[in-house]
Amino acid sequence: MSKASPGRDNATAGTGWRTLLPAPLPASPLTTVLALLWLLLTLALLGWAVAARQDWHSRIDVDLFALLPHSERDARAEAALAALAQHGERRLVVLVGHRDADRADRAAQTLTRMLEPLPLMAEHAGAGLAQLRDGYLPYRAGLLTAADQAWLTHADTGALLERARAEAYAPLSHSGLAWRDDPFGFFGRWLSTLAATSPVRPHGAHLGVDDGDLHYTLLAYTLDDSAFSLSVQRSVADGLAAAIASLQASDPEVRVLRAGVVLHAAAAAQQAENEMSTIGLGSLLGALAMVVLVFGGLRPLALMLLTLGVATLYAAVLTWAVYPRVHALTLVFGASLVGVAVDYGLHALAASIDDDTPVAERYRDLAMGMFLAMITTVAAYFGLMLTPFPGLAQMAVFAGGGIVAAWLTVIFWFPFLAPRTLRATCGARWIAGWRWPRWRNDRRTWGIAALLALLTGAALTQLTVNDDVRALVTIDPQLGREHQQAGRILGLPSPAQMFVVSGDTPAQVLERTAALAGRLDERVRAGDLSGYDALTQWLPDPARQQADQRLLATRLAAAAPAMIEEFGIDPRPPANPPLDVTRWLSQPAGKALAHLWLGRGADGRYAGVVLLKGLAGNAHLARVAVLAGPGVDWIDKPAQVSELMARYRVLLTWVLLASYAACALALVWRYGRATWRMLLPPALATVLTLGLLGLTGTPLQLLGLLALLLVLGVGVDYGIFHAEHPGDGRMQVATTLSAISTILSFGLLAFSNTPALHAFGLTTLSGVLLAWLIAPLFRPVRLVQDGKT
Amino acid sequence: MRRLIVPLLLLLSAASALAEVPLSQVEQRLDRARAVRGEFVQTRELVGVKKPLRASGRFLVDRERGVVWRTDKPFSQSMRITRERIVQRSGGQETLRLDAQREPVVGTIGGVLFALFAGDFNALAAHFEVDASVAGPRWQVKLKPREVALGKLVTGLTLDGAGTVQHIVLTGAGGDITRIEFSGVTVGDTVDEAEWLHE
Repeated sequence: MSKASPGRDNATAGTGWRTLLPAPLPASPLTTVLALLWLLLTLALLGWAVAARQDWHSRIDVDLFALLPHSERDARAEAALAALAQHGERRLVVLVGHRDADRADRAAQTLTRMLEPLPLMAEHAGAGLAQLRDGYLPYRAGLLTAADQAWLTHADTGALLERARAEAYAPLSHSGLAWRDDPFGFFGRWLSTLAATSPVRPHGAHLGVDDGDLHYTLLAYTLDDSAFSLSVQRSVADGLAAAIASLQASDPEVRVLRAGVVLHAAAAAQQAENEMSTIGLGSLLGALAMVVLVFGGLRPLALMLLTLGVATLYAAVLTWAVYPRVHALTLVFGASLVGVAVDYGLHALAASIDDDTPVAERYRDLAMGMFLAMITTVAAYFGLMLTPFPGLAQMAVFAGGGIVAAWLTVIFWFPFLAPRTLRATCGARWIAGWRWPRWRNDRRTWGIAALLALLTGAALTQLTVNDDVRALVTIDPQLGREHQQAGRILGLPSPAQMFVVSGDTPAQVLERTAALAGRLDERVRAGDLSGYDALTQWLPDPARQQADQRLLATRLAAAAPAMIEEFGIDPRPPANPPLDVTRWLSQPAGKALAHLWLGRGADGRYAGVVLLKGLAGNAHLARVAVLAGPGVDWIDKPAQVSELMARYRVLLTWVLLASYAACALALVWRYGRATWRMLLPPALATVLTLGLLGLTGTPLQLLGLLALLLVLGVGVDYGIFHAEHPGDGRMQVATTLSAISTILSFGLLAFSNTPALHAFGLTTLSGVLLAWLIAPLFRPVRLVQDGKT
Repeated sequence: MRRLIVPLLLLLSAASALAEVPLSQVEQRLDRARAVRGEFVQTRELVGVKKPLRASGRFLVDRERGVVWRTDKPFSQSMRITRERIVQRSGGQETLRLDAQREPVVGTIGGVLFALFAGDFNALAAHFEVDASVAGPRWQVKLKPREVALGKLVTGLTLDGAGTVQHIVLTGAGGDITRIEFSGVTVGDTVDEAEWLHE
């Protein structure tokens, strides 16, 4: 190989800087001590990691909001979202539809039987309003509809008696109460307003709802505590799908709509697993095959895995030691950034191909380049730590810790573990033999460059950005449609937008909610939304209840003698204190609607939510959002998360630029004016990749910028290796393997169905490939040192 | 009050000595004309009210549109029940309007009342356990709500008659009892608009 390679003499030309080496001399006792210390530390940390793994696992955060800077995180908004998520995540709703209501009911019964083996608890249709009635009954003196309140203001005893007679002679009271308990029907009418909040009504033994010419029978389920187990989610989703398929096979006219967070979770997990097993397994096997093919033998493979393992161990230990909670996204993307760690090992192993330089001497040669490569990569990621976003800082700590550990492992252990000489395999020889062109300062080269610049410039104008949080998740289109349709039919509120109403006392929260509800009624009439769920529909504020009590008491006191004379009953309902939040929550109504009440926050204030139905379109959204005011906060979850993503993206753009600056600073002390040779490959690769994104219509996303940071990390390494060992075939092998392994591990994500992962993969694929191709173009003729070439 | 009803019902059923039969046999004994009209006397026994409340008036059942229930004594009031809504008018003024679309429970109540007055037992069977019996041309149907929700409104219903419904006994969940006796019942195939709309 030494003959085939284009000479190692260049690489060893300069020796003066070796005294600056941070690397130890492998043969000296000091290096042995350092290697042993590193071993002891690694073993100790490994032991700790194994012992603490349960604790670590419990400290993993999956809440997207945990990535927000702390000052921006509104405790009440979070509580509201968490309460809603909790309310929704275990519920599963199935609508069985048919033109014929009875056949819909029968199909629902069949489905219920088929679902029996699944870990689902059926929610019984219950007694509906009538059951709620008994809870409210003692407080009826303060429960009046707006219409009755208005009527009572003007009604005299004669009018009241007329009403009482009309109720007494009607064949049936529609509240089901004895006439005596509600002689004017006030309470019955108030109860019937509750029914207006939902289109669902009892049909036979089931609950049903009509939509167009279809009748849907409603089946509601709750998942038990195992809802968070992936296998349970899968079994529920699969079992339900199978049951629906068999139901539709027996009656093709049956339409079934499913809605449940658990179904989406199962579908997403299924897709992630499919992608991981195809993309992940493919890339792992590819990378392993490549190492074996190029280096030959299993020892290099074991060394690569060792480096990666140690890097991951230190990354994890450092992250968990620094942060009380670690976000799952940190692990995913931190793991991808730490992937650069294998480069040092590849570089060291490639250097030993057909080379019988004593190990100590070889590592002294390599150490400088690797040190710079490591320092620049860490600098590139360190920029993330300066951002106020805990998520990004975590990723930086994770990746930085892993990369430093990988480098130390190569420096401390490889001299002892790596073979002194690796025999060149055919693959290695072939790669080393490639002849890359070099940049020429002539008209033809500049012409090509100008043309490329023009094309790229044109493509860059087409580049768009996308901060939509939905790019991070893929929703199964079929499930998404069903969910949406079921939500519309059932009049379910959207979990995306809502108001959080807060106040110093529960009464103030209710008063503010009532005021908001009044303004929302106007918006409903104007057609901006179809309805809302507010606490005051179910629990009027105390002031309103007291006012109604007073009004009713005054009127009934006047009417009582005539009522006693005519019917022998006193019409006055019992005078109880108004129904308050605490008592309401213990009633069937309160239990069913507990998610509307958030309770007392850490700041001592109370809060509730108002949920919105049928709200869509920016113009409608804007007209509803302005109803926010003191103690009434508007929450638009997708907009807020998307805004957050946009801020992350802008911030990361600055971090990327700052990282280039930091790399330049780190490199300039050694390479002087020639620093551009290291920075240009990743910079050009980045610009060309952005052009490619513009050309293919792939929007730039937050994750794309993380990929560009990765391109900087590996691109600078290629530049450094080329500058340190210009034209060395072994180095060519190292950078080629590094590029291939990076592409295999992350670039293959370009085949993911998740838009954000696809964009991340495409960016990595193109950026790393281009950096690898461009780096040799700018290699110096001889070793670059102190600005001299 | 409840204590009174049970022996009363027992008496009734013993006196008529009806044989238990499937519902279809009752339907054979029913006149399937489009319109049924006549007079009614309604007696309500209300919990806590000593004397029963007696009302009388006229009714019209239009199988296609609904029921108009017109009380003349002791005061003038009308109630129109359709599958869509229940509207009550008194002294030329609308005193109650319950829309099935806005208030689904009205759909159920309206449906039951409609079916009840129209003698549409198939519709009733969706909501009630039906216990039918016949004796000659006479029939009797006892209904018990199937659904807990309906059971919170009505605990029991008894209908009897020959060609048409002659008596209805309705026991409300609160214990109020309504007895309706029909008389002068005629059947026809047309309903003119004025009759339907007349208050």
